[in-house]
Amino acid sequence: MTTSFAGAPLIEAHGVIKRYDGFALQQVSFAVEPGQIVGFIGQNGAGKSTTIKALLGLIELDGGEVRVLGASPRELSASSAAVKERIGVVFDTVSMPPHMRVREVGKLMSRVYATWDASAFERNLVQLKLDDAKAIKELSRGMGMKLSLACALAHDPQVLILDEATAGLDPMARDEVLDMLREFVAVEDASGEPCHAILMSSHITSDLDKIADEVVCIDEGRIVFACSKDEICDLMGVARCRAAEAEHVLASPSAPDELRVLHHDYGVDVLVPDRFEFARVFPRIPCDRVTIDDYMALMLKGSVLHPRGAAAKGGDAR
Amino acid sequence: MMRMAKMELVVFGQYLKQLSFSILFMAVCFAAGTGNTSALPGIIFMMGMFSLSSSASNYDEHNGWAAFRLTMPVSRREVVLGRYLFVLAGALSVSLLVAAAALVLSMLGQASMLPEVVARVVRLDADAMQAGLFTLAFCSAVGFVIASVSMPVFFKFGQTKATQWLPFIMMFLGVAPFMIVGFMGGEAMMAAQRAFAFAQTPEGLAAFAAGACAFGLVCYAVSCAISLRIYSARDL
Repeated sequence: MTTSFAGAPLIEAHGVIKRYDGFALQQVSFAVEPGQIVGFIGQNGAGKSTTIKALLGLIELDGGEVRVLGASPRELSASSAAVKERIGVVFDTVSMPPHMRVREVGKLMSRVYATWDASAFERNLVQLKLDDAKAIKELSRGMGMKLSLACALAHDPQVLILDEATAGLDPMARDEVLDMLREFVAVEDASGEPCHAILMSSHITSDLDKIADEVVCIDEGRIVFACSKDEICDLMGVARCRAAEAEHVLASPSAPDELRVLHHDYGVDVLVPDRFEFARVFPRIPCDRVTIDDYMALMLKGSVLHPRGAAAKGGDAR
Repeated sequence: MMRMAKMELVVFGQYLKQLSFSILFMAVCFAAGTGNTSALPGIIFMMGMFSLSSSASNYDEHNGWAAFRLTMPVSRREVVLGRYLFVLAGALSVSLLVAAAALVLSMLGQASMLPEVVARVVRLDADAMQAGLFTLAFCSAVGFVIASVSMPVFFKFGQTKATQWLPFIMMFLGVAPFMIVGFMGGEAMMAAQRAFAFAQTPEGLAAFAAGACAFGLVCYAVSCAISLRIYSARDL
């Protein structure tokens, strides 16, 4: 069963605040629209899992508002069935008691989810090569993640919230799982509109390069950037400059008002908004396609320069 | 609540089998040691309340199961109510099974279908029944109190943290009644002795059994209400 919210996002966070000793989520806001896969990235301890817990009503918020399929965390926390039936969740471990066997997991899920599809679960087990006689404690991390995904996809969810769901998977299995996720998000309602969505936190940004529509990055509890993946990967570029070339770029009248740079021992990476235009203006400077990893490194570790004003903000031009 | 209780049954299926074997072993040892079976239902009920409440919270800690369970279609309220129901139903079931087995063995003994030495142990005469009822009432009250104290602590802190505090709390609760009677002096001691003497009469035993069960159930209900409140605000 799917529910539409008249163009409203399926997952939304507005100004979320959660304070702990030594860490706080600060005004975290983002949205996941129907048909979207949103990659949620950040360093360890940046606040990804805390944000996901806030979305699921597992922690109480100190401020802000979140909604998943239109339900607030309080409603999610209190409600027993309707909304939660339509949310598939995978955490970064297989989150079930370790003594249970894979087939018992299916039995457990069938007791809990009214929409549980035992044959879909069986199919997922076969597709992901999972032995139903094995106990959870006998599964490797990757196999455990496959089991969690098999469960999440077998109760006909409308949104998937995945916390490091591809961690521990070998490259072949990751591709299989990414295909399953693509298939999931491609589902349309009766009027031909997309009705599923995925929020996926991951350290493996190459996976997000392959499937994400939007990328949201969090650092020290704050959203650092939230933009379309195509904007990053299709248009932007990273110019691999030597120090002199970087100076040349910065001094150029065609340089944009603001440039983000990252210094290495062997040179300077410069983030350029349009790599095709850059290649035309500076044909001798190699300019690569930006990966999400590059972009995250430049945003988190790089500094901002204002070439023509020569006013450095948050770093120096060295 | 039933949804949660059903989940618990699946999760604890294997554990309940193990528990049944250990209870069978304990029952045989206890019957052989004391020379009768009348006290078994009470003792098994107490053991059941203790081990089920503790093991249930132990499983919650593994692999983040407690947090993941709340992403499934169960509310926090259902988790708490289902857990209390499961622990009580589990302890009651094993206790009833043991009582039924003791009764059957006694009947077999009376029908001379068991060796003399075994028949003597499993015999349930009036005295044994009276002792059994007293033990059942006393042990069920203790079992209820153990679960009533431990479960809110488990719901508040999770088992790892709770086990740092529970031994101290349990020891204090075990010693506290004797300390109170001691502080109150000789008169309180005399009153306690009179109460025990009254409990040995049929009317006294009935009153004691009813009082102990009511006390246990009230403790359990209050504990459940506290756990509901605690768990509704817990960050997982």
